[in-house]
Amino acid sequence: MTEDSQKADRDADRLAGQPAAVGVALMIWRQLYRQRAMIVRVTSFCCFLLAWEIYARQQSPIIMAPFTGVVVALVELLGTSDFRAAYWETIKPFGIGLTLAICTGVPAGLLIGSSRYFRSAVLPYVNFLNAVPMTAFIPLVVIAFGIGLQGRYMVVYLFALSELVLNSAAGVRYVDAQLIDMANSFGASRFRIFRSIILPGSMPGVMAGLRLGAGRSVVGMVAAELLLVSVGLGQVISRYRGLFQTENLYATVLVMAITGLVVLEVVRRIERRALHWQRGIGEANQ
Amino acid sequence: MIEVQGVGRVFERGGHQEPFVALDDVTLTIQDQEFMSLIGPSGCGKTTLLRMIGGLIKPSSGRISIDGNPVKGPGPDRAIVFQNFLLLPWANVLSNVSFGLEARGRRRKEVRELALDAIARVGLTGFEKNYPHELSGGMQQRVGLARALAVSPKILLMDEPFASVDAQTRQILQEDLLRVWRGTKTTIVFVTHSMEEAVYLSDRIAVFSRSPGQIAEVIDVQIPRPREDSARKTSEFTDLTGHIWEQLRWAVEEDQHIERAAANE
Repeated sequence: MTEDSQKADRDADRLAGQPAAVGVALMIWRQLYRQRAMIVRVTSFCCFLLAWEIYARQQSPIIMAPFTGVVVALVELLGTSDFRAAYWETIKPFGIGLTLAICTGVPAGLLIGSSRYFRSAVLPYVNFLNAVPMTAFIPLVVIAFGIGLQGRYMVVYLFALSELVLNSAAGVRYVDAQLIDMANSFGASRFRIFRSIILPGSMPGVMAGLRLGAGRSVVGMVAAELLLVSVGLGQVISRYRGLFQTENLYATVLVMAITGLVVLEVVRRIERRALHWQRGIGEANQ
Repeated sequence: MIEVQGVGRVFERGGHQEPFVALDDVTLTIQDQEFMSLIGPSGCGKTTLLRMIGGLIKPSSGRISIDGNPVKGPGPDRAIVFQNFLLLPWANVLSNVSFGLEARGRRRKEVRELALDAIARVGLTGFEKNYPHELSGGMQQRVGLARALAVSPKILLMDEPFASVDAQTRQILQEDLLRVWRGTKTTIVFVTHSMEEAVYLSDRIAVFSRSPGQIAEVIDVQIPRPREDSARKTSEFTDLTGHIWEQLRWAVEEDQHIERAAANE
């Protein structure tokens, strides 16, 4: 970035002393040059939307909805209380399930990482949970916990849990053992070592678990509603599919997608804040 | 007074390899308020000895005692400054310097006072809120030094503390260390592989030989204190470094030989 701006600055120097119009043009050019990554991104997105629009308009509206139609449908849907209620119905189990998974998964992961006995006792189950395709569990969960709110948040919970546990445990194992030596040289207690070194030191792993777990709980949220229990946005999707209201169907899927993106962005920001001391990591992920 | 009597240390190695004898039958007495350097080729056990005095590892044979009491583990009379600083990357300078005090259960108000005082002594006032990654290597080691000084140890154990900073910074750090030491008069045990550093800083220098690690010679440094930078140019200084070089030379040559052989394989 600095190299780029230096290049732009050099261009500016070369033209110094030119008439004002040239100076203004140059300033605009320099701004464009600095923002070029953003410009490429926006252009690409516009091309995508345009291609979608053109292609969809050549198809039957039942098979594919054009972008503009989806936007109109989206605005209308968001205005109805039915849709908002369905959205809330979907978000609730997601929020509860993910929160539960964080509250139990992170401590369990930290324990697995710190204690050999706990690891031997618990890790096989977590690995099992991680290895089996979670969708296969959904019928079992629904039988055990019903199709109500509890059944659905348990699905979200189970989807997210293994990522949180395994990554938190890995985080503990990446803590620099020399720092523990250092703490021992000052006679630090086990509690002090845990609080001041292991806990903050395993944050990169915990945060990775949060990122992956949040992603998987979005999948769990959608899967539960679509595959088994017809409520919330899943029910809305099924209804519009049945009625061949393709524009509304697209709009609903779009709401789910945006929800997922917002969740991931929130997690990414939390991660950047929590790991501000890790120089370079934040920039590398840009 | 630190007494090291007939101390040896053997490290088990994996598989069917012979155990590695890091240190064999070392005897050394370090007086109160003395500045003692341990110098030697890599693998001579000097850092092992320092860590044993610090109580981080136990001797395989022999005994180490401080003022007559055998060393059983880390204690409040000692603090270590580590080669690679070992600062907490998620904590700012003030929190890092406070760590030792907190670990020793000092009261919160006292912790802050003592930490700020230690930060001032190493010349880092104004950097309390900075994080380690924002500091140069030299400044990071000042934090490491402040963390150790903050707990007012009777004995300061320094494990190649200036090995990973550049030569200019190193000289400044050496001078600052002597200044700080004059103010506190702790005992310092200082591991280094720089002959100039050992001669400039020390009252006495224990020169180690290798395989197994033993003390080949203990040298008295008679250069008067306070030592200014000009002390580095006196004939006494160059004579002493020359003398130590004679002791260490064969080991360095042997290393080169091993490296060449390994490269040819």
